[in-house]
Amino acid sequence: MSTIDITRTFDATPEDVFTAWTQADQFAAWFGSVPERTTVDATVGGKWQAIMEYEGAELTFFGEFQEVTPHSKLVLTFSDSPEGTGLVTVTLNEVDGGTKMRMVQDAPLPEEQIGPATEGWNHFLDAMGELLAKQK
Amino acid sequence: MAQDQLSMTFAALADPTRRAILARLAQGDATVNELAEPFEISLQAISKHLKVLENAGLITKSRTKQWRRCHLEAEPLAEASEWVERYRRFWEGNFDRLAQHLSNIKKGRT
Repeated sequence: MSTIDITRTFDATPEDVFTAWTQADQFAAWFGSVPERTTVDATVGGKWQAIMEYEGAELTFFGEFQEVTPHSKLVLTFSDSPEGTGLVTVTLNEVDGGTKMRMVQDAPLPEEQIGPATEGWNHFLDAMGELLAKQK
Repeated sequence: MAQDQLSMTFAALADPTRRAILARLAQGDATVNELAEPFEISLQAISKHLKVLENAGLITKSRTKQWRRCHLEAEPLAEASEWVERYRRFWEGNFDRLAQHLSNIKKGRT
């Protein structure tokens, strides 16, 4: 269920983009978490955790790596709560002018149901939004 | 909204038959028989889908009449849409910062 699908091109090598995802200090720098409270073990089965602090509150993001292919692909579980986990898939391709990165985030599902995307249904939510708006 | 509600909503939405049922209910209430009509699968299978939708809070069923009437509850769907929007913005912001970070890395080398 690919929910969020974002593609960006960066003026950087695939190695640099890959490192930005897998090296804890660098990850914290753009993800926005506290560097001292960010850990990344970019190996298959390795865990990651990133804690954000703002306005006195704390938000913990965490997960586990399922696929790690330098410098072209990462698949990790992604969660901000114990109740639901989704998959994030990052693919990197070298292009003229840098690296094209595509990130797909699946919606959170109960633990036993997470898996690779089967069918896009974000269109469904959009369509429903329109239908329900008409009802009002 | 509780996170478990959210993941239950998405789990309910993961099935195309259930999505079709919700799309039909978005046009108005329907009985279980009316909902089952467009599908080749058994009434029993439809009832299982309806149970999943009901447990996820996406539909309610009235029990006052002989015919079970199903009603779409809009709130869980709205919450699911908001989740998508929130995370879309979250990542767009992150990637703006990632671009800046990568630029800094590059500059740091020269």
